[in-house]
Amino acid sequence: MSPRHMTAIVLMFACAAFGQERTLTEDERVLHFLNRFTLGATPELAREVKATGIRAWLDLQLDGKVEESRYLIKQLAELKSLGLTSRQVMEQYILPLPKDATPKQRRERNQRRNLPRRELRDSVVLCGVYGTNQVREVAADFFRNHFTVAVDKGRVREYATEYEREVVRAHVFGNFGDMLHASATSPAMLVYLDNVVSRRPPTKAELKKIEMRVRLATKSKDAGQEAVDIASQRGLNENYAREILELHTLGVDNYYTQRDVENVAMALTGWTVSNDKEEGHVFRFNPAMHYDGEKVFLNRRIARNKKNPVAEGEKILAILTRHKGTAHYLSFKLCRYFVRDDPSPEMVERIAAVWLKSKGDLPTVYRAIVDDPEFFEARNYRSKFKRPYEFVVSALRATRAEIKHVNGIHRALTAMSENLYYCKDPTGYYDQAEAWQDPGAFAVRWKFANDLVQGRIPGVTVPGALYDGLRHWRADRWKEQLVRRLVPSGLTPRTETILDEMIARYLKKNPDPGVAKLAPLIAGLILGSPEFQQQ
Amino acid sequence: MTTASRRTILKATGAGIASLALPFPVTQAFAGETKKPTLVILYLRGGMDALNVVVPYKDQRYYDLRPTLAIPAEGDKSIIKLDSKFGIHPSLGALKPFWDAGKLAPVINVGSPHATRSHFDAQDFMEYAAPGLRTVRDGWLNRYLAISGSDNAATLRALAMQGLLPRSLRGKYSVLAVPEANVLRDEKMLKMFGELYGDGKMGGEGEMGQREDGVVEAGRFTAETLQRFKKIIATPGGRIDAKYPKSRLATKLRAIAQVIRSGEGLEVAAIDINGWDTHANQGKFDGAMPRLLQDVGDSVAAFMTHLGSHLDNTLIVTMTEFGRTCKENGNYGTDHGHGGCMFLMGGGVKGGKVHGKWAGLGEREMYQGRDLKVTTDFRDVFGEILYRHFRFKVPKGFFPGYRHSSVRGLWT
Repeated sequence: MSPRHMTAIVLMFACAAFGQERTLTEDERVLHFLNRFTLGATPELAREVKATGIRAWLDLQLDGKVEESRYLIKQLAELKSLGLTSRQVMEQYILPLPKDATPKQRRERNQRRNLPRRELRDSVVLCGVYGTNQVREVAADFFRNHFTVAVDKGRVREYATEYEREVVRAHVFGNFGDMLHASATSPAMLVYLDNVVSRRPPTKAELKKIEMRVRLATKSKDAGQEAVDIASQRGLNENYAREILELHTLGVDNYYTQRDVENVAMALTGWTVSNDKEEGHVFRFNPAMHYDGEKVFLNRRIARNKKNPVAEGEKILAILTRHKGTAHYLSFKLCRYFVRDDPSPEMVERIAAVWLKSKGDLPTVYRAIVDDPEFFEARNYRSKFKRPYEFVVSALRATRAEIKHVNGIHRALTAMSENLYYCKDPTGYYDQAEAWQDPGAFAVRWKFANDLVQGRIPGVTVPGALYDGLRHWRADRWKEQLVRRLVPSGLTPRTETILDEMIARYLKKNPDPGVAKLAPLIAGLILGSPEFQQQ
Repeated sequence: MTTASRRTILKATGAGIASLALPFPVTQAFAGETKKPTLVILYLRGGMDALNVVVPYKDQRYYDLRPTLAIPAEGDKSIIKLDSKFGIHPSLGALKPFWDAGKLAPVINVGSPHATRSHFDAQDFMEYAAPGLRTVRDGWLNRYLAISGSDNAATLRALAMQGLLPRSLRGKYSVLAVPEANVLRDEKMLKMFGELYGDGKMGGEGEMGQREDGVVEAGRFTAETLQRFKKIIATPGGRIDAKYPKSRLATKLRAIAQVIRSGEGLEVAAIDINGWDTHANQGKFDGAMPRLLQDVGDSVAAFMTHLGSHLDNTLIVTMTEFGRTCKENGNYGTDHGHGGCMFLMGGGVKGGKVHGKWAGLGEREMYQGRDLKVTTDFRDVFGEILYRHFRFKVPKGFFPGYRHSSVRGLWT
């Protein structure tokens, strides 16, 4: 155990004995901040933040002036679809299939079709691992889940690329209202939560028209009636209206009722995706689908806007953006994400006040979280259980892994039940320990940790640099060195003791192990240790 | 049987850690005398279309509402008749012999009183057995495990055959989520990390506060129970007459059968089966839903055969968060509905009879004029499972805010 850890632990016990909470040391504050505002603290980052000062470093990140890593830029440049609009993705990647297509043609077409989705998912991993704009990556991780969409729902597969870029990334350092508006007008969200099919029921005249058309075409009265039956079922789809209130703004059952859900759904009818030849795959308001008439939302009258019916939905978004329920719910979720699984109501209250005052200016809110007296409380230190994405990305960062292709990493994340952009629920992936800390799930993490350092994750190599200089030390000092490199906040004495015993036993059997043999074993154990699962 | 005597028997049969050292035949010999009840939950996620599973083939309304999806009553391809009113989907043919033998008990018009048509709400409410109460965060089966036994790590009482636990098994009581085979096979890795997390040692004082302790504890439990699980799976189980299909579900069920037959004391096993959210192209005889039904029917039939005499103590239950609209939609599919159906198989259920009260498909007989009505609260079935199958006296408040009643005639 290093003297630094010894001091910390002695202090911890001393404070416990006097029944008071200890305060974090300067080094611990830096690491705590990095644990929450980056996807993995490294010794280099810790030094950098210590030299710059936590708050100054955060400001640099939030100002968006941090130079992006060249390595990442190079990697992303190979993902050709990343910069495309939904329309361009459709044009360049969805190719028509000839009627008598051979299996090979079919396969090639599907591979091409799946490319943008794959490149998007790859970029999420690569940005997390190599990005120097770590605060942006963390904020994007939060909002990617907050406004989740899944690529296995219809055209979201093609639309998600633009979504990640224009909805999530474009606004994480901007205003929440803008992000909400961007998501509400994004093809991906409108498809994902079915708003594209939500419409007023067809009128009698319209049904008659359908009947006549089908009857003429089929010469069958029954077919005509059937078409009417099917058409008359079409109508309001509450899916998006419900989730925008429940998940995106107010929080479940806060302030609103089923009637509000219906009214929001009515106001948003016609918010759909254009399928024009010329201007396809962009947001379009379709007046023919729109529910006319007055809407009432949260006891406020939303007057019918005959000239510009899209303004009704805009009005609702504006109300939601300013609402104190939104401020409160988002502040709660952000505190849960950045501070602890059960943030104190007092802190949530303070952050919500900042939110309201700043009108949802997200950088102001992030700053307020770090400035809050509760953020650095010792009980929060390493109290968050890493989600699989956080665990995997932090392991790749700690080992400075080189990624040739991301398939193996996606497979590992899937085995851990966090397949990126495939969340089954519109809730997004949960960020509390409760959702991930199942017994059994640990074995999957251990396997990843061990496979990673043994070079068994396809496409990923851990460079030998991780073990640089170890040969100058005696083998029983390697652990100490590796802990310093991989988990700067250290191990607990319990884990240290067991690890020492295991290494001692190994050395008894193999008195002169090469670095290449023993060091990866130790590194794997450290990455799979209880301490590395926490942040 | 009271909880105390259950625990005594558990100790007497050596179902604790110590028994692992015994060669298996011994345990199996014991098992023959002290078969414990086991519950296997198959959760069909996405909202299974009950109406095409238990088909009211005498009801013309069914055929009117589903011009393209209805399964005909007669003909080459038709339902498998159960009684004078109901038949099951032809893809479930493998289950018919179990109906004939009185081992299959469908419950119709079963579901939640809560009106939600949201998947995740409906699933949460059902798995916490607390419709509308978002503060309840312990799964109903976890509550059962926690109340009925205190010796947390002593046996492999419950497991889920998937990477994460279903919510019904989440909570205070430690339950194993069994990872994929490639993880299980990595013997050296499991041993190494088991040691790191203190496998086989008693839990010590944690230095990092509650959370950290939870992590160490969960890791230790992972290592211990996975080793035990692996040993059971690796033990040749003798000759098997059952013909499992080649599917992930079949592989999982086979493993569960092996654990049950080992006499290790497994009480609850859970498997999620996804893909039931059939909004479009649901399929009549072929297609998405018939394929799923085929897999479930064939796999469960093989599982029940594999269990042999253990089927008397093993109850298999299928459930889903809600049924679907009675009327098919414009996309050859069905949308989120209300009432659904459950299958109870094996154990002591009174099979060969369709249980639950049929509510009809008339405009006014349907829920909100569109869905199957709920005439049996799912908590009543859960209560029966706990009381009749596990002999567990369901304490007051177990189903928050609800006093369950029995489902008449469901048990022999």
